[in-house]
This record gives sequence, structure tokens and C-alpha cells, in this order.
Amino acid sequence: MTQPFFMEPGTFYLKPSDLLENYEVLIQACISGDRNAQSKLHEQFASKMLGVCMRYSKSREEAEEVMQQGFVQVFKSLPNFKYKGSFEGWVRKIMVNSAIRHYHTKPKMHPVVELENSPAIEIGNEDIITRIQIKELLEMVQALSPGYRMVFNLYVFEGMKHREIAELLGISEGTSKSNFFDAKRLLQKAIMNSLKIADNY
Amino acid sequence: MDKNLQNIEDLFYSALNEVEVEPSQNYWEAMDREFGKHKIISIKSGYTNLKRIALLLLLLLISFSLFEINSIQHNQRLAKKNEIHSDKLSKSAIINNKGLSGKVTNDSAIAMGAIHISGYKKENAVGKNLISAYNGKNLPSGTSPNDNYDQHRKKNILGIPISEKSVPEPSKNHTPGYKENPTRQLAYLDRIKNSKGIEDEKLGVENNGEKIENRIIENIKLQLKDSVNAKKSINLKIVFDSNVDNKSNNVLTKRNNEVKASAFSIMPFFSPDVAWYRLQNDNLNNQFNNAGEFESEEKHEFSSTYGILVGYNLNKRWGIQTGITLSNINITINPETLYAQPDNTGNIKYRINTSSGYGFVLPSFSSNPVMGDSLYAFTSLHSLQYIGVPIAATYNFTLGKFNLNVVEGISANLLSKSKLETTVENGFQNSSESINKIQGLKNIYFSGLTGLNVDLRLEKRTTISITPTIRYALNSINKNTPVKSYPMSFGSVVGVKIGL
Repeated sequence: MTQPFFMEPGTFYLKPSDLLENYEVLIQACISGDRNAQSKLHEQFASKMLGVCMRYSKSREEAEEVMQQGFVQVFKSLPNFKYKGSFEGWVRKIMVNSAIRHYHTKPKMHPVVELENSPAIEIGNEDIITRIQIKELLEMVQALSPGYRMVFNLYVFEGMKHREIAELLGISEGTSKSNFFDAKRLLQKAIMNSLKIADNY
Repeated sequence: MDKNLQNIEDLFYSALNEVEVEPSQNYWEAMDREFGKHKIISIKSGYTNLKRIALLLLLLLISFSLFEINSIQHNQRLAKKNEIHSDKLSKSAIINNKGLSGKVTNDSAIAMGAIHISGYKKENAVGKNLISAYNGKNLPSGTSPNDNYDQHRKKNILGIPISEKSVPEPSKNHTPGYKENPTRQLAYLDRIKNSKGIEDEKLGVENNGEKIENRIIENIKLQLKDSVNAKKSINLKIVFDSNVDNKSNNVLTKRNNEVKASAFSIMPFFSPDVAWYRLQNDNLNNQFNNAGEFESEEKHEFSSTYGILVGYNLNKRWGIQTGITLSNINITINPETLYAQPDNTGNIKYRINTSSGYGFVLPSFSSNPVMGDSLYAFTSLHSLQYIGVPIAATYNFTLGKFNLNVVEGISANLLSKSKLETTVENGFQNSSESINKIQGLKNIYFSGLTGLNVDLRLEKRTTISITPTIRYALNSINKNTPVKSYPMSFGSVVGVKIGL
């Protein structure tokens, strides 16, 4: 295990390649209250985790709020980390939980979905990605109603089953499936609209 | 166009799973503040533990200090009492020179030195060893000293039994100018012997066949006056047989009876409490409120404890205390939004989360909510009632007029009642809702209690008792809830203690 360089007392300098191996040292420093180490750890994951939180949130501001709460929870829970599995995965799980908590604490509206009975369109993913920016795809997910967004994210990105999602969100399995289906239809519609606009140009 | 758009999830997964977004400057600033806050929280949490330890140490210190003060005062009282006895005895024992002049010459001080009268036994004492101290000042005029001595022997106020064997030889060392005079010594000893007086006969009858059980031993310094050598000290180790004096015997018996009589006591009490919860997040997967949110959203209202305690004194210092108590905890919750969720039976209702537990309400105007529906709830109140069975050890000591007890014990608390009340609003409709059983509560929890009891005696058997007491939960009152709650309280137990 490569030892970190101590540039000055309480200051960590970690090479990216050493980072994974040195999480234990970094975590211990964070637990002991080393603010510098906490800052380093935070910086390492902030961009990735904001990407996760953006998918679960309606806006960037909301995503940052969720991530902030998530990181507070990360630092509180560091002593509980068992060093089993990926640390990044553990942090990500906390972020998702933070997003779920945020979802529960915000007033919810009935999802009003107007879905046209348009037939599914056959289109290549690679082709879509070349024609639609990633940012635009992210905005499509963010535009979903909170319930749909949560189910879609948990199913697609976290790989959860509908039963697990239902349990986590306090809904029935049928509702979870229904929400996922509706979310997909809305996203399809959004993609079609986006493609039409792109074609017009 | 070779793929079906219905697999759109793969498109989003591949496009967004690894996406990274750089946080804004505002975020970093907010996080910086949060780091500082987190640090402060950690420090605060650390200090909380230190405060608890400090409080415990403070209680111990106070207890020890009070004990020490009490001991010192007790010793001072004893010393003062001895001094008073000594003064009385000195006055009684100051033998008028004139009265004794027939046997004791002026220039021969009664320097008996230290006369230690010890090893006293009743058989020796009765009829033989009673000194009836004589106050020569009360001698009637015109009577000879020896006559006076004989006549007023009966009026002596102190009966001092002594042992012949233990009367030492006079010591020259005590008085430089002392001249050994065997005749004078014998005369003095004769007086002591003869001084048994009438009391001897009386006591001889009263104490016939009895063994001495209670003796009070006191060291009394006597100041014997002589005409030439003004003061000569005689240290007497005097043994009072409680049986000798009927009066003191009665007092002792009475005192013993009192101690026996007050071994049991009963005390109805009431304690207004300042209560709070120590909250602990249950797990990471908490999708509901966490401890911090509960702490900010909830407020503990007036709580109280009342009941009856029974005490039993094992000995002079130690005792045990038990009884039955009824404690109430009342907590208000700030207005909040309730969300519809499935309850334990699968029905969709509005969930209210509290630090104690949770409950579901279903207002009449919203009979068929669906997941995600919300309602606005005005201030809610949840109250808990516990029946407690405490058992505590008490350590008793006195401080002046006050009788103090350090109380340390545990209590088993059985949940007797839990209630959650709220008023929900939906547009122009309000509805008061009440839940008579909060879910997630354990039926029993244990708590520790530490207190310092002050007793102020009103009458022989009645005392006002005030006990500042800290109660702290040893285990949480709830399970399967977002947070674990440990009730804490500080109250002043006020009651009337009645000796049985």
C-alpha cells in the first residue's frame, strides 16, 4: 500500500492512482476530523455524485442540495464503512438515499401525464446520442415528475427490481411498474420532439 | 434505426451513468460552511458526553462534600457537647476548699493526675463506684465541710461510677510542687468510695442481675481547684452505664424504638420534569426524518411524574426505595406536510412521523388517497404515559436540620398509553385526527435515576422530601423507526414522607 505524502501536518496529497489504495488512510483522517482530508474526499467525488444527484432532481440547485445533504451523511457515516466493496459505490448509495429522502420531504403533486397513443419508434441509440446532447438527455430525465423520475432512476441506474423500488418508495409494485412505463413513454416523446427539432435545423 | 426505442433505458444508462457535473461555486461555499458546522456538531457531541461525565462527577463530589461537612459538624457537635459536660462536671467537681479543708490541706493540691476509670463493670459499679460530685458552692452556711459533703451528697447531679482497681497512683509529674501524702490520698479515695450514696442502693435494686449493654464513654477533663495551685487537671475516663440512669435509659430505649419505627416510610410525590429525548439515527437507509430534523421540528412540553414510593432503612446509612410511578411525556410537532403511504395493512393513509414512533391518519374528507398525496398538518401533539417501577439504593447522611440521601437506581417503565393528535387541512376543510396507539414503540424500557434527596422534618414521623432527580433511558423506547429515542428528564421530586 502506497503511503500518502504528507506535505505538511494534516495535509494530504494523493496521486489519483494511489487514491483507491489510500481510501483507508483518507477515511481514517476524515473520521479523526481532519478537515483537509474531508475536503479532499469531497473533491474526489463531487463531480461524479452531482451527476447522480442531477438525475434524481428537477434542477441543478436541488441536485446540489441533495448532494450536500448526502455528503454530510457520508462524513457522519464514515465510521460505519466496513471497507467491503467499492467506496465509491457506498458513497453513491448514500447519495441515492439522500435523493429518496429529499423526494419524501418535498410536497408531491399528482402526476398528470398526457400520453399520446403514438406507436413506438425504432431509432438507434448511438444515432440519438450523436444528435442529442447528453445535457439534453439529462434535462429530459429532470423534466419527469418526481415519482416517475425516482422509479426510472432506481430501475435503470441502480438496477433495482420493482419490488425493491416499491418497498423503498412506499408504493405498490404495480405502481412502480406503471410509473416506469409512463416515464419511458414520456422520455420517448421528449426524444422524438428533440429529434424533430434537430431535423428541422 | 435498427433498435427499438422501447429500450430507451439502455440509451439513458449509457449516456448518463458516468456523467459528471462540476458543482457551482455556491455549492463549494455552502459545503465549506457545512464542514465547519459538521465540525462544530462533532465538538458539541463530544462535549455532551463530557457534560454527562462532569455532571456525574459533580453529583459525587457534592455527595462527598456534604458527607464530609456532615462528619465535621457532627464531630464539632460532639466536641461541644463534651465541653459542656466538662464544664458542668468541673463546676460540680470543684470542691470548695473550705469543705474539703478537713482532709485536704491548702498547699496540697489534689493533683491526682490522670485518673483513668475504665474497665467498668456493673458488678463493680453498683454499690461501690459511684462518684457523686459535690458542688461546694451550695453549701449551707454554718455547716462543716464534711457535714456539708454528707448532707448534700444526695443532691449531686452526676453519678460517676468508677472502678477501684483502675484508680492509679497519684503522679508526681503532674505537679512540680506535689508532695506525696499517703494519708491525703487515702482520704480522697475514701471520699470517692463513700460518695456512692443513696443512688447505689437504688441502682443496686434496679440493676440487679442485668448485664450492661449500653455504655457511653466520654473523656472529661476536670478542673479541680485548689487554694494554692489554682488549677489541676484530672482526666477522667468516665463510663456511664445507661442502666444507671433511668432517665437516660428511657431516652435510649425510646430512641431505639424510634429508629425501629421509622425503618419503613411511604411517600406520595409529584415531580414536574424538564424532559428531552436523546436521539440516534437508526440506520443509513433512513428515508424519513432523521434525528436532526426531529430535534428542530419537535418541542417537549410540560412533563411530569407522580406516584408513591416506599422506603426501607437497612441501617443508619443505607436504605432501599421502590414504589410505583406514572410519568407523562408531551411533545409538540411543528406544522408539516403529511404524505400518503401504505400503512402496515397496505391501506394508503397519511403518515405522521414523530421521534417516538409513527402513526397513520385518514381524514374523512380524503377517504381514498393515493400514493404521494399530501396534506398540511397543523401543530401535532404526541403524548406517552409510562408506569414505572423503580428500585433504588439510598445513602443517608444528615446536614444540620436536613436529612440527605443520595439516590441511585433503575426503573422499569411500562408503556400504558400513547396518543397522537393533529389537525389536518385540505383547502377549506379542517379535521382533527387522533391516534390512540403510536406505532414503533416498545412496551417496556429501562431507565436509570440519580438524585439527591433532602428531608426537612416537620414532625416526628413526617418530613417534606425534595429530590432533584435525573432520569436517563438505558435503552431506546422504540424500534423499527427512523430514529432511536432515549427519554431523559430532570425533575424535582416533591413529596411528604411518612414514617410507618
